Amino acid sequence: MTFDFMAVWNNRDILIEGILNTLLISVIAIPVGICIGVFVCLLRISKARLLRWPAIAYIEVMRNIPLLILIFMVFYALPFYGVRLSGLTTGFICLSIYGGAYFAEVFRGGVEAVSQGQFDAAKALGLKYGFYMRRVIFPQLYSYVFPPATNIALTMIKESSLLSMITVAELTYAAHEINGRTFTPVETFTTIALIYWGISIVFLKLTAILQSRIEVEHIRIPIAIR
Amino acid sequence: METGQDIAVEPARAEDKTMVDIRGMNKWYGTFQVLTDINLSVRSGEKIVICGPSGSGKSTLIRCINRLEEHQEGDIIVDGIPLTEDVKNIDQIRSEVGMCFQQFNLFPHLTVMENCLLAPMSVRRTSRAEAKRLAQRYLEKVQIPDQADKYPSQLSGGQQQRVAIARALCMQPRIMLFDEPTSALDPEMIGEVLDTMAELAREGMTMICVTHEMGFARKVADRVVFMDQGRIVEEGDPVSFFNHPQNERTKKFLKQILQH
Amino acid sequence: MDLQFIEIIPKTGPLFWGALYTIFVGLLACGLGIAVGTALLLMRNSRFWLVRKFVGIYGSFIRGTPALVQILVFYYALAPLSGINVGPLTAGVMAVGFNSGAYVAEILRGGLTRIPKGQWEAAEALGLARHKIWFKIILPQVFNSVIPLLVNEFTMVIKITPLLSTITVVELTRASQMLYNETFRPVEVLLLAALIYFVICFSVSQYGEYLQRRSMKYRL
Repeated sequence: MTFDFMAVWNNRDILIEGILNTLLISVIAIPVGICIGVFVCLLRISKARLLRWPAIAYIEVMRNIPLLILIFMVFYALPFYGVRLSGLTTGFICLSIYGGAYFAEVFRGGVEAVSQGQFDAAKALGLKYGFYMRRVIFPQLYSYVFPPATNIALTMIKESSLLSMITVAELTYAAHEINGRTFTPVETFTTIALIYWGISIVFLKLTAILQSRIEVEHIRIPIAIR
Repeated sequence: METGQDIAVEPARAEDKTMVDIRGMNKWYGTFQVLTDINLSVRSGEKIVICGPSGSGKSTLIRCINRLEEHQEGDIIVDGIPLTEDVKNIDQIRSEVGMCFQQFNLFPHLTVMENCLLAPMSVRRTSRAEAKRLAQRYLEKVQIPDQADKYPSQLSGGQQQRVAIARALCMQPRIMLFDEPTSALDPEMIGEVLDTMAELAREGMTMICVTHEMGFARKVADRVVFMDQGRIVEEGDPVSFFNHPQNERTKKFLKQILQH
Repeated sequence: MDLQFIEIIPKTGPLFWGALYTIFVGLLACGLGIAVGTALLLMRNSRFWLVRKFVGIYGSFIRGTPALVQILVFYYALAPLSGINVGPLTAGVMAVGFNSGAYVAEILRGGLTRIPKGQWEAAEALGLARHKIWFKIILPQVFNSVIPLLVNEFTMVIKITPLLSTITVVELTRASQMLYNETFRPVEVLLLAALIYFVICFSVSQYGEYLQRRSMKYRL
């Protein structure tokens, strides 16, 4: 048995386009997901039921159905209601709202890890909600939230591969396309596995650097105050 | 036993047989020397109490005897078996030497009875019935036969430590090591554990105890060993040790510990 | 367009078979995942550097690549590389199982760090052999402490199984695709499928949380 990696190499332009699309989807969906996560987390920890319950419902639904089903629903079912989205748009929307639920849970875990005493102290000082959330609670969250949030962001990069099933030309779809031309499935899929692996390793390295930066700043602040 | 040649040269009287012989032992953690030039010889049936300030290396010393810690220099000979890299010797020594820990270290997922059965059945290959008979006997000896089907978490600290003693005895060891067996106990439970240990001593078990219970040392020990900064500073029989300590550090330590 | 479940419901038989198949595949893959995870845990504590290194690389690869791509690689590469021609079901279960194994290994590693060192020492002092210490003392305690997380891992596996529809395993997602291609009613069919997934995963994860709460109670 011989492997023909040249066949993959000859189609590298398709692969490169796939990589760029995968990165593009991630770069947009992850920040949007984080924003959704922060917003839903604030609803989730609210004392008002009318705010809390929709947030719980949203989180539980997203966490308990497979992403693929969500993608299919948006892509195949919405057109019946006159909403016709392109594959790429569907991808952004699905990944963001799916990831948003997971981010919300991570942030909630962080808020719960910050002691109640911090809330009490902030309220006792007469700080406004928006102010103490921004200046007191969130800064303390970093160390609790960063590692699991990194994980979810990485999961989102990987999950973007599902968009190949609705013909979004990202990396996995590119592999299917090359395979369709060259009939070299082992070589092609191994190659993209290695590419994804490389993206993940680089991503984890970058977040590790970012985290060490944040922690250094974290330590610097109290010293500056003293 | 495979050590026939050693037994042949030993004197006929069993009490005079050397059970543990440590000669010129040194141990380091990295570059930090924790034990320096340790020489200690324990005869069969002898009860040794090792005391000293915390960090003096006393726990490390007895943990070397059954190879929970490795020593780098010198010889340790347990019941005629030299303690070396040889896994066979280590296994043999461990089945001869019982140990009780400060934190009891009972296996929480097994009942009291199963805790006692595990080692005899899987190391000694004793039949279940025989092991059970043995366990029952030792649980009676430590006075908790009726708790055999409970889990360790359902027992008090004192009861747990007595189970730990019974578990060690089920291997029918010739030497028992005690590593601060009462330090993690509430004060009202210390007595029951010390009584069990004293009972064991009366029956002629060879015992090496690291403990701060000076009353126990006075009553039970044949010899008290005082350690400081990784060295054996002083040793002697309890009467002279407590009444006429020779070394300054011993005097200071005894003064601190006996103040109250 | 109005939802017309009444029209669809008589035709939903395949969906429920698909759901049962999903659970079946999930259980097989989860079982394999636990076996692989346990093996990885033991290998990670091996004496040999190369074995420990392998576990690190394996974990990094599984966690660094999409499950979909792993399934595709496994499906296409298994036959030419091993010479064994297995069906999509076997290939799928193995791919998902080996994927889950890396995560189970992480769960078990977390459990292992909570076992006090004294347990090792007590077992060694009793003269138990290394493999007996692992299988009789350490692993039972590790598994006891992570049961809730393993239950949760099962929902993770269930959520990966739709990917097997790409390699023609007729589980719930594939069954629903076939059904809406036949009935032209994707809205109802997909909603039903989502509901079934939700019921499976939600009940299992609630059970996991219940176990978690109970184990917290016992620890106090």
